[in-house]
Amino acid sequence: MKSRIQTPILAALAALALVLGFAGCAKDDSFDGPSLVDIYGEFSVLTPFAVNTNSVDFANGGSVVFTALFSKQVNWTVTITGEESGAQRIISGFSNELTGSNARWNGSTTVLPMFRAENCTATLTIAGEEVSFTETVTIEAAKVNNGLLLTDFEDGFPAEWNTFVQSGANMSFVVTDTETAGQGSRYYDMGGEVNWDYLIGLFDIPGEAYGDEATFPLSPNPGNVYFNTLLYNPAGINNAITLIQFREDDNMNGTYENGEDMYSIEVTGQEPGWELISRRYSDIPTLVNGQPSPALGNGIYEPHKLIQVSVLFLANPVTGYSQNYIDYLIFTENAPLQP
Amino acid sequence: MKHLVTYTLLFLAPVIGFSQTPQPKKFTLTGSARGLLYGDRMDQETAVPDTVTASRLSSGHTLVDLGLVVRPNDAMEVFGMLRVRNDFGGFWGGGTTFDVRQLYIRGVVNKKIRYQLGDLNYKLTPFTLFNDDEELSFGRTAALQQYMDVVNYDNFYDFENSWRQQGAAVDFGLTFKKYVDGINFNLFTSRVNRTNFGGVSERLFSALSVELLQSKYLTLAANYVNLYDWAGTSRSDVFFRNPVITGLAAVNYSNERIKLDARAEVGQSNQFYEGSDVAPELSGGFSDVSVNLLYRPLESYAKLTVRNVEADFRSPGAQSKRINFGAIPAAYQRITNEQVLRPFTLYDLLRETDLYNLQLSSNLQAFDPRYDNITPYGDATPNRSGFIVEAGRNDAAERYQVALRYAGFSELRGQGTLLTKQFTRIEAETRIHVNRFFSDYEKKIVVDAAYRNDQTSRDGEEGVRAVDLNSQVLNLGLEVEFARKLSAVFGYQDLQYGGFDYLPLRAAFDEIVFFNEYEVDGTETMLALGLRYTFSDTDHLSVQWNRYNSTNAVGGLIPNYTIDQLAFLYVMKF
Repeated sequence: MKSRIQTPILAALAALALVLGFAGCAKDDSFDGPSLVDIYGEFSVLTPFAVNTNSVDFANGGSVVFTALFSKQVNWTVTITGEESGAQRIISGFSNELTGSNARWNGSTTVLPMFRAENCTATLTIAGEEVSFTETVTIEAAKVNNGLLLTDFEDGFPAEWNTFVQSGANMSFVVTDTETAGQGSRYYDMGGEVNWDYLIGLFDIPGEAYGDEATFPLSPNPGNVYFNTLLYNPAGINNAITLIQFREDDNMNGTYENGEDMYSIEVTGQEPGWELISRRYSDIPTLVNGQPSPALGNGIYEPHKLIQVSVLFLANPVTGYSQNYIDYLIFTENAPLQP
Repeated sequence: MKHLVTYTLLFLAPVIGFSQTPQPKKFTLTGSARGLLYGDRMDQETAVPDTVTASRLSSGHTLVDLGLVVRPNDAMEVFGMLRVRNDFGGFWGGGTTFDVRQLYIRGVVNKKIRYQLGDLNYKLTPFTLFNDDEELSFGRTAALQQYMDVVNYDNFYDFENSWRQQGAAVDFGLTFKKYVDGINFNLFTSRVNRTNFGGVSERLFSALSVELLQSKYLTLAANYVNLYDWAGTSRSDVFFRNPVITGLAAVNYSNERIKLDARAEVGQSNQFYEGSDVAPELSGGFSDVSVNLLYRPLESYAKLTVRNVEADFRSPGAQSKRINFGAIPAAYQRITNEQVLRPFTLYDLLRETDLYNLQLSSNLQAFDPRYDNITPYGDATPNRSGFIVEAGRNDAAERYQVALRYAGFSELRGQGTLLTKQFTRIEAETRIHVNRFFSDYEKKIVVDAAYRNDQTSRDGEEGVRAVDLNSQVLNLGLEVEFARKLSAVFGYQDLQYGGFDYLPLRAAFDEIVFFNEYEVDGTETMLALGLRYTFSDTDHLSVQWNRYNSTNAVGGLIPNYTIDQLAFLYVMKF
C-alpha cells in the first residue's frame, strides 16, 4: 500500500526536478571579456575622419567635433597641434566611433603652452594600425577661462604691482615675447645671478588692485578656490626656486602684520618647458624656510581675506645664474584651471 | 521534540572513516611502504642534435609511512603518521627526510557527538566541496593507474573525491519515531591559508550540511559552505567572501524489476571582496537534476542528467583543480640546445606528485583545453548548460561492464562574443573479465577499452575565427595472469588533439581581460608493458617499461620527443 502511494509522488518529484533542470537555460545577452572582434577583427574606416567646422571661436563657446566610424573598437587618439604655439590637445578613447560625446574639443590644452588664435592640425591615429588621418582647424579666438585673472602680461607688467630686483648680474625681470608664451604672446621673464642671497627678485600683487577692497574678491570657501599659474623652466636651468606666498589679513585691518597667516607654494625641480601649477587654496601649506610649519596666524584658510600674493624667484647663491618665466596667474573656483 | 527518541551517531557525508573494530586495541601500527625507481631515456627530433640536455635520467625513492593509532579510551583516538623518505643517491642521512604526514585527534562526546581535530578529509556535493578527478583519468587502464595511485596516495586524493583539510569537524544525528527517519548534521571549518600578519588574512573554509532522511524513498539536504577571510587576522581591510548555499532532494524507488534514483540539487553562490571598491561581485546559480533507471531483467541502466551552471557561479570547494597547470616538471625540465622549459605532459602527470594542488583556490585555476575543455572544473564548471545521457549494462555475473555516454553542453554567456560555444562529448567504455566466461579458468584475464571524443565549436564572425577544437582519448588495457599471482600487463593511452580556440586571460579577480589565440595539433601516447606480482590485495611488485611519445605539428620551441621509462614499483600497506 505504501509503495502504491509513493510511486506517483516520486514520479511527480522526478518530473518536477527535470522541469526545474531545464528551466534555468536562459542565455545571457552580454558576454565576458573584451570583444573578440575588437581584438582580432579586421580594421577598416567606415566613415572618414572629419571635423564639423574648420573655423572655431572658442571665446564664444564654440567647439570642434571630430567624427569617424570604424569597423571595430580601437584605441584612437586625436592630436591637435597649434602651428604657431606648438600647443597640443590630445583626445583619446576606446570605441568604434568618434562623436560629439567622446571627441569634442573646446579649445583646451593638454601640452602647454595654451592655444592662441592660430591654425591647427588635427591628426587621428589608431593604435596597432599604420594609418593616420589629418584635418585642419583655425582658431578664431582662443578659449577664455573663468576666474579672477591677475594678469596674462599681454598688456605689460601691471602698474599696481610692486617689484624688487636685486642688483645682481644678468638681471632680466621684464615682460617679453622672446620665447613662446604660456598663454598669449607675452610672459614675465625672471632671471639673474645673485651670489650673496637666495632672493633674485620678486613682485607683490596687492588685493586692492582687483576691486574696492584691500583683499582679493574670492570665495570664502577655501576648498573651492584654486590658484593657478604657468611656469617655464628653460633648458639647462636646474636651480630655480619659485616661491608664491599668500598673505591673509586675519584681523581685516587692511594690512598684513606679523602673526597673521601666510601660506606658500614652493616650486623646484621643474622639467624644461611650460608647466601648469595649480593648488587648491585649502591645500597650500605654511612654509618656513621651505619646511611645513604651524600656521603663523589663526590657521584658518580664508581666501576672502587674502590681501597680497607675492612671487619670489630664488636660487642657491652658489649655483650661479637661474631663470624662470611666469605667465597667466589666475584664481579659479570649483576646479583647477583647465588650460 | 516528542518524536525524538534518541540521539544516534550517523556517519554519512564526511569521509572520515572510523574504525569499526569491536574491541579496538590501545595501540595499532598502520602505514605503508613503497619503493620506486625510474630509469629514463629521452630522444628528441631536432634538426641539430641536442648536446646540452642529458638524455638519460634515473630517480627514485624508498619511503615508509609509519602510523600509530592510540586509543586512550573507547571514545577517543589519536593518530599520527611519520614519513621517512630516502631519495636514491642519498646515504648516511643525505637525502633522507622526516615529515609528519598525518596527525589528528578524534572521538565521540558522550556517545552522541563525533568530532575530529587536525587532518581530515571532507566532501559534500559536486557543487559545494568535491575534489574532482584529474584530467585524463577517464578510462585509465590498470597498467598506468598504478602510477596514479602513488600520486593520489601522496596527495590524499584517494578518499572518494574528498579534499584533505586541516581543521575541526563535528558530526551528529537525530532519529525520530514517525514521519522522519533521521536528521544528520555535519559541520566543519578548516584553514586554507595562514595569515602573514601583513596584507594576507587568515582564510578559512567552513561548511554546514543538514540532511533529512524522510524515509528510504526521500532524502532532503541543505548545504552551506563559505571560503572567507577572517577579519582581524591581518592589517588588510579587504576580505574575500564566497558563500555557496544549495538544496538537495533525492528520491529512490525500487522493486523487483526497476530501481529508480532521482536527484536534484540547486544552489546559489556569491563571491565578493568586502571592503574593496574595485573587485567585482559575482553571483550565480546552478541546477543539476539526474534520473537513473535500472532495469533489472536486462541488467541495464539509463541515466539522464540536466545541468545548468551560470557563468558567475563560483564555488572554490568544488571548482578547485587537482592539477596545477602553472607547475613545471622535474624530469627533463629544460630540453633542446636552447634549454627551453618543457611543459608537463601525460608522462609527468603519472609520476610527479608536485604537479598537483593540495589546497582550495579562490580563483578559477588554469586548465589545458587539450585535456579537458568541457568540464575543467568538474560538474561545477561555470557557464555550462546541457545534458548527459548514459546507458550501460553491468553483467550480473560480473563478466563485463559496458557504458555509453553522450554530453551536450553550451555556454550560457559568450566569451568575447554573443555567440556561445557548443560542447559535445561522446564516451564509451568497457571492461571484460574474459576468464569469467569460462567456468573452469580462474586466472584473471581482463580487457579494458575506453574512448572519449570531446568537441568544442563556435561559429566565426567578422574576422574572428571559428572555434573548432577536438580531443580524443583512447585507452586500451590487458591484464593476463599467466602464473599464480603473476600477471602480464599492457596499457596504452592515446591522446590526439587539434584545432583552434580562444583562451581567456584572467586578471586578479577572475575577470577576462584578453583572449589569446590557441592552435594545437598533436598527439601524446603512453605505452606500458610489464609484469606484476600481487602478494595480496594491498601489496604488489611491478616492473614496467613505458614509452611516451609527444608530437606537435604546429611547431614552436618544443620538438617531438620520446621518453622510454623503466619503472620498478613496490607498494605495501599494512
